[in-house]
Amino acid sequence: MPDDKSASEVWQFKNVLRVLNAYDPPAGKFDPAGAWEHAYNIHFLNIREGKAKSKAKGGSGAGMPKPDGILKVSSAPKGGDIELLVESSALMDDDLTTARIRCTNDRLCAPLSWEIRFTNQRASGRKLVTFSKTGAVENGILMKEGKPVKGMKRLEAYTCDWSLFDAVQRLGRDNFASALTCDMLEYLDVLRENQTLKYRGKTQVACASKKVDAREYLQFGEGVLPTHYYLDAHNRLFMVLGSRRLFVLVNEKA
Amino acid sequence: MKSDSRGPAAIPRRDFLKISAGVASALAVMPSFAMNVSIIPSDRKQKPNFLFLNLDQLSCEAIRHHGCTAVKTPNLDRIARQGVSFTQSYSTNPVCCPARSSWFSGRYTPETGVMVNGMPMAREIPDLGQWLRRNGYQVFHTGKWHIPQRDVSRSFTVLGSDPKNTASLGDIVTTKSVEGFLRNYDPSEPFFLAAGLLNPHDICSFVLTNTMYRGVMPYPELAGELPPLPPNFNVAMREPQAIVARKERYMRDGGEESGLGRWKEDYWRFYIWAYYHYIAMVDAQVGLILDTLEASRFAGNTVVILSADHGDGHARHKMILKSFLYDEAARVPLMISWPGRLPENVLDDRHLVSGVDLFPTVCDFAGVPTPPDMRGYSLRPLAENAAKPWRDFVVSHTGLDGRMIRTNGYKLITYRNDPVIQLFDMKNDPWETKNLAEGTAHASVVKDHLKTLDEFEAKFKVASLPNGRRLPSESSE
Repeated sequence: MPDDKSASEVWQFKNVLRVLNAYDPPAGKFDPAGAWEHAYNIHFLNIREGKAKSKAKGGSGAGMPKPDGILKVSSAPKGGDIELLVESSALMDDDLTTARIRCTNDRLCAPLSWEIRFTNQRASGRKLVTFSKTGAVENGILMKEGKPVKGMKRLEAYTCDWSLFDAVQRLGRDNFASALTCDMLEYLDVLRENQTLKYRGKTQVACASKKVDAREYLQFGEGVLPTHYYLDAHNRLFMVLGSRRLFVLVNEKA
Repeated sequence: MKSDSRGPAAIPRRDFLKISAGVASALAVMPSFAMNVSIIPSDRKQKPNFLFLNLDQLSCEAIRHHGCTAVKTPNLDRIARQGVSFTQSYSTNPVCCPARSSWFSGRYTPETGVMVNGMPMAREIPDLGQWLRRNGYQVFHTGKWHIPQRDVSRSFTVLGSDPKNTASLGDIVTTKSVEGFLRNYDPSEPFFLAAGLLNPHDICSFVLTNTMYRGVMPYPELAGELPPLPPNFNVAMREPQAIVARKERYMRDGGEESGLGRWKEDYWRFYIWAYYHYIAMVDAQVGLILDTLEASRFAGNTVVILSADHGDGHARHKMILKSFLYDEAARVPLMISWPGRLPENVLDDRHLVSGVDLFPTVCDFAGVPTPPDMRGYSLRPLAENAAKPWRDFVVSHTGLDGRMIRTNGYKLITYRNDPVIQLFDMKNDPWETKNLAEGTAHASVVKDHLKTLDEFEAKFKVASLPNGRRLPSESSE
């Protein structure tokens, strides 16, 4: 197990604390290798401290500032692989992206094939912008709708941004001994090379009713800002913070 | 300054045009110029489509194709290679709302009324969406709009992401809207689609979110990756009080956007690093859009225009963010490509162009007239490498008091009621480090630039402020 370094404590940023001060993270046993479903509130952190946003009423996350979006990720073993189901919605924009992704059942949770659908509920634009498409990685070649993407490198160790929500929990389960180094397909579309996900240390994240003993992983790489992943004692990913976006786990089904 | 009375604008061209002699020969000596295709006259019967990609807070210099080797912008470079990139392109007012009001009106900000963020655009001025729609185009908008009290849904059909878009999930939502549109749109009528991508504007969060680090670099892992400081990071130069006060406010502790006084050198370099990463993020979105366009039925008949509302300080002059008139904030990319129709891989560093040029440029390609009082000019002749009389200065504003005039040789910056005037020799001092207005050697140049600026602005139809006040350019000094 690596030495604990001082964690960067980025979660102590004031606009993050506004969320955490009303946040009760899920607790109890959790098996990253089993079937699970996580719903994260997405908070877009204001560039100014400003006034607190109005608070959400009822249901999960009640009392917290209203989220700007919701990300649902579910993972389940399927035929030797993993099936990830993703729903990402921007509440202000009435947009919804859904994806069904077949992934490798290993520490990278690398996407093998997928179908992704984008819809918008706004009256004037919904018919024009709704579409779906498929993709796959075959022998290291990224295929979009059955055609190889020209000019793209052969993928070896790779994952995707949504898969990291699974993969980082596996890192925790495996005693967080080693770093992931790989390329990443962002939104299953954009290649972000040379990503590293490494253990950064222990920290205590102060939430509404308790302090969570957390382990922090940090992602660096081309085309991304440093992104912090926080696991609880059961290897459950309960918070992600990168650039201006904060994800907090508000609902869990096992 | 030389003058020329020819030209279509309401402001007589004699005020700011001169014959640009030998345009073709001048272009021929540009190091990056390469004519890869013959110019095919556009078919006026088949009107082109338009894709206007507008980015937020992208400095002209912060693009690899423009010489910045520390940033990765393969897709911005791709547009530049596929067309013409104007590198002497200036925002009319380097902050979000004002610059956008100029894009969509063809007018400078004292006329649009949007001098600072939040001010409403003058109602009587038509916007590009309204104008093109009136002239036979289907007009669409997605992503960031940010022109106060000008309801984008009355001017455009709004696709997907909210016009107040703050890119809550990243620019991907805007990109997906464009992708869906290009897959689904019925090509029977020409379209104009404006897509407002937010980044690299997210760099604005840097100061606030990093104040708690007290200027100490939080990621030692990045030490080997940090770009160098620019040569004008520490410049001993008198600056206007507006700049001095701004720097003092940022440097001191306490409150938002403060604490820069504690920043160590590597922390400034981390800011530049982060800025370049935000640029790489939006570059990828541009790439997805270009991929989709090139795979679509519209590939051969769509004019792609890319620009940014303003740049960012990114440690130049020890400044961050925007709302000032040094080049890092005021000079922005402006690229036009139309593969097969326009010359490719042209880096035009000779013509001074402006955000007010977007409107007449689109009208020219579309074959529709312009509304009255256009202050800009069509860039189409320049893009087509045609010899054409061209302006010999552009003007920018900042806030209610800051003004800039950029001529081919110099840039003058002045703030109302401020004795410090700045004059820079832009050919020999592109980093703007020596204020030539301090001595007497350039007194006549200063006087000439001020006179030209005053005369130019005197012709503005200045907008009324909401509470009945008048903008400073019409008030006595």
